[in-house]
Amino acid sequence: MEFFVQQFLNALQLGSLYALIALGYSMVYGVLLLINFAHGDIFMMGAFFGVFGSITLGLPFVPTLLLSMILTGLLGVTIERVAYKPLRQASRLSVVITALGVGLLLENGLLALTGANPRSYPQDLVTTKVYDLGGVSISNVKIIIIVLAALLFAGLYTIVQRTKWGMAMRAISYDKFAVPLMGVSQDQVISLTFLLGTSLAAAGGILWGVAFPVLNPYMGLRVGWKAFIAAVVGGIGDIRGAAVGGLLLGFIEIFVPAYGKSIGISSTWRDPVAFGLLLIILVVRPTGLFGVARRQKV
Amino acid sequence: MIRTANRSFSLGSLVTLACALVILIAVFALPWLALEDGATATAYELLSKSLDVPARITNTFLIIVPLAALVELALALWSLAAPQQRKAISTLALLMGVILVGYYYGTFLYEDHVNARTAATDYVRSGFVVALIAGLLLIVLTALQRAALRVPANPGTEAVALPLPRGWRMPFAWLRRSVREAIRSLQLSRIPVLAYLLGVVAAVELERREGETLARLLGFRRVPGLFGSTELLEPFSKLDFSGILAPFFPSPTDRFDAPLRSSWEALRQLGEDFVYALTSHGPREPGFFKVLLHVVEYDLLIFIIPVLIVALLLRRPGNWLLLRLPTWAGLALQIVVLYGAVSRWGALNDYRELVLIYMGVNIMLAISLNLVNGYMGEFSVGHAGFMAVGAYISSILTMWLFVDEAVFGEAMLSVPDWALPIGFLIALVAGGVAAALAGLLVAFPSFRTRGDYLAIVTLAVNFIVTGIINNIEAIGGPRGLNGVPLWTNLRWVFLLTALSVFAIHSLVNSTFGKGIVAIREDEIAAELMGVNTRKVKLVAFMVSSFIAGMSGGLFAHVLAYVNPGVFGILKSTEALVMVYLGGMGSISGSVIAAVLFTILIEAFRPLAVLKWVVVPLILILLMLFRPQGLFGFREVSLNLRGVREEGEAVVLKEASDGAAAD
Repeated sequence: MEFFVQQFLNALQLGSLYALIALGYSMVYGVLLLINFAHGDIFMMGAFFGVFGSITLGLPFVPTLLLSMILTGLLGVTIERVAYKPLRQASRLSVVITALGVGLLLENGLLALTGANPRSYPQDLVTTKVYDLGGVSISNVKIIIIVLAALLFAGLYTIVQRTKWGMAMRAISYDKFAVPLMGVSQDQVISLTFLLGTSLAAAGGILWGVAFPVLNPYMGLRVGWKAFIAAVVGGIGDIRGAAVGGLLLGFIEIFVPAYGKSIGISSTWRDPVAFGLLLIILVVRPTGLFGVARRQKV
Repeated sequence: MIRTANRSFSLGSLVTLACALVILIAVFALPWLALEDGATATAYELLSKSLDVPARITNTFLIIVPLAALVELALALWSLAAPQQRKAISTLALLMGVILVGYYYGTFLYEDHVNARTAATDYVRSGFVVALIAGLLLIVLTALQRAALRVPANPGTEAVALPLPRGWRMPFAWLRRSVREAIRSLQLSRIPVLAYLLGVVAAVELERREGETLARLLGFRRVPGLFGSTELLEPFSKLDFSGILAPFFPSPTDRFDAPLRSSWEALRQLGEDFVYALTSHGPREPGFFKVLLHVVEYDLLIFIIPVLIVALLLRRPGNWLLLRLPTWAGLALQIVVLYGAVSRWGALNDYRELVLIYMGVNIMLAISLNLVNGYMGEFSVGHAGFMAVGAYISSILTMWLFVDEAVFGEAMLSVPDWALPIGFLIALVAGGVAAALAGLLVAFPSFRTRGDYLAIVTLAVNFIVTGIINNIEAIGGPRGLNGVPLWTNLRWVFLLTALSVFAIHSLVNSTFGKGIVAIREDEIAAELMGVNTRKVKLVAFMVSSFIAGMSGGLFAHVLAYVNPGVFGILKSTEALVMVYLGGMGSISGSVIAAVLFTILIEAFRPLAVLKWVVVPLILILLMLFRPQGLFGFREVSLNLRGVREEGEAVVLKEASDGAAAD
């Protein structure tokens, strides 16, 4: 039981990180129908802006988090304006390829400009304390990550469901031709989407750096692809789906090695098993858990 | 010819004027050359008295410097002049340009022979190259602007206008026009491919005889490997960008007291290094401008001019021959000549052969991905997974069956040496078949899943394949498989590449292949028209992954070492880049893109990390300015079958084919 609770918390931590990143994928997809392959690298930039805030400026945790979210959000909006907006009328695939290029550019550009040394946050950014509750050791880092992720998700959900801007976002994802006719500025809504999505990724990046303290320019690659898979499994374009998909991926990744040992599956099988399960989910439900099939007319 | 009287100052003419002024000031006014005793001198002073440079060079440069400035001035005047005066001015400018080039070429040959003090003259020369490049840049920019103004090729895509000011005009219009007219008068498109190929053969033979001498004369250490592209960026290999942002993102081991200042220091140092890399500094370490000139000269003398001469000479005989041969014989002849040219070119050194092998592997990878992404309109992002399956299965087979090595012990079969190639072929095909079976992992979900969801399936398959390989200790796990026999050679690669191109070409042009395109256009409509979409998808995915698997097998047998990390997302991205660079649904586009991409990767090798900054930048710019790729949805038209010359007796192709059939 203690073991289960321990792993449950680990899975919750990893899952909420994936969910935070997957949300950005899902929002951008919902509004633009664009797979923003640069999102993983935006997550990485968020983590690096955290280094800038915490070490270079010497800020404590919360200001670092906010600074990184703001800077990354601005970066995301800039990328959208410079690289994606001119292609809004072009075929969808050219935008996706551009996104791939932007991602490569970010990670390799940063590597070229900063050198290859791995980065990490200062020890006192979040001083680790471990509480022992009946055999289950809980660190404050885990609690912070889980709670913060839940808060951010709740905030985002409120924005999307309750505010006028959120309504505009949902409307554009429903019918992007009719909405501009109603006097809603498509460009502004898209910028807002990028701002929200990328700043959530930045939060994910900083929390990731706190939990797994080695940062390098390529860290966004694997995490980004995995979060993308989580978003698709949840049903891309739906923010609840992204959260559920992220958590699901986290649980699979933690529980497969944790309980697989007894049946001869070592921890290195984590990736193939996780992706195999996701493959099966997609075959059974081709539009993901929360996704709605778009009816095609001939 | 359109003549518009436009007397207003265009920006182009202003820039040309500015170029001229810059040269004049740089050479005569700026004391920017350091002397040995610490004093400084202008280039003019240095050249005319201070240094004991051989008199001829000094005199030449005294002529060249004002000449270059005069040319620029003439061009500026031309674009300001009234239409009636333009012809005279342009003739004058052309004449001066010829003199300039002649003088320049003479000095550089002379100077390299005597190996005199070249540093000073190099600086001056760099000034010209700056002017030249400025001129070229003007041409490129204006051409881009004109291209942007044209109606976009794809309806629905928006042309992106360059941010150039209104009233921008072509300052070199007369040059461009006369070059274009000259090229048109050569009728290059009427020359059969056969003649070009024979020209290449001649050029390669010329290089084998004279390349070494010319390369020495031009200051290369050896014969340029890939038309000089690898030498071109060598001067920049020492640039270090890492100091610029490192102070803002310090690692635990770094200590920066003042980030802003140390970043500025790094930037300043970089600027100095950059200028140093641009200009030449002695014969041992030539700068970029010098290398650029020498590369252009080498390529012109060894390749471009001989190929053009031979091709022009053989135009009529080539067309005559091709019109009389049956189609298949003509094609076969051209393929044989192509192989001859390629293999002779590659035989000069191992590096070239290696690059050619990579090209072949990349071509197979690109066209197989194009079948799925371009012709069928799906979005596969995990193509490297199939390559990995092919690479591993074929390597395991060859190592297990035919070779004594450390992983699987002694060879299972004792095969005589002459039969080893057959064994290799069997192993490659087996790798391809295994990859095709892995392709089923994508094909079956594709019956129900489409678009982005299918993209994720392909991605997952890529992760699963590399993940499984990582976990099988018997084949090395993450450490990889060592000791794969080095059996891939140019012959195999050429054969399999040619076969793959032929296979894909035949497939997409067959009735069955029309079904593939129909799925891209509209799957439901295709199904209603009687296309068995499941079967078509199954075949397309399997053929695509079969070819990718074979390319993986070839790749493994040239690396001699495979590990799962090689076949990750980056490799898949490379394949995507090649397909979209060449254009979707275009086999010739993919082939050209694969060749270009391989050369590009080799050329950028000296830049280390920057290589992967420049490549995605090219990709982004390509997508912004030419979203359909180089050859989107169309093929390069080649004169493969000969065309009739004017005034020649009519020999109908069909008639000769019929005669051959009789």
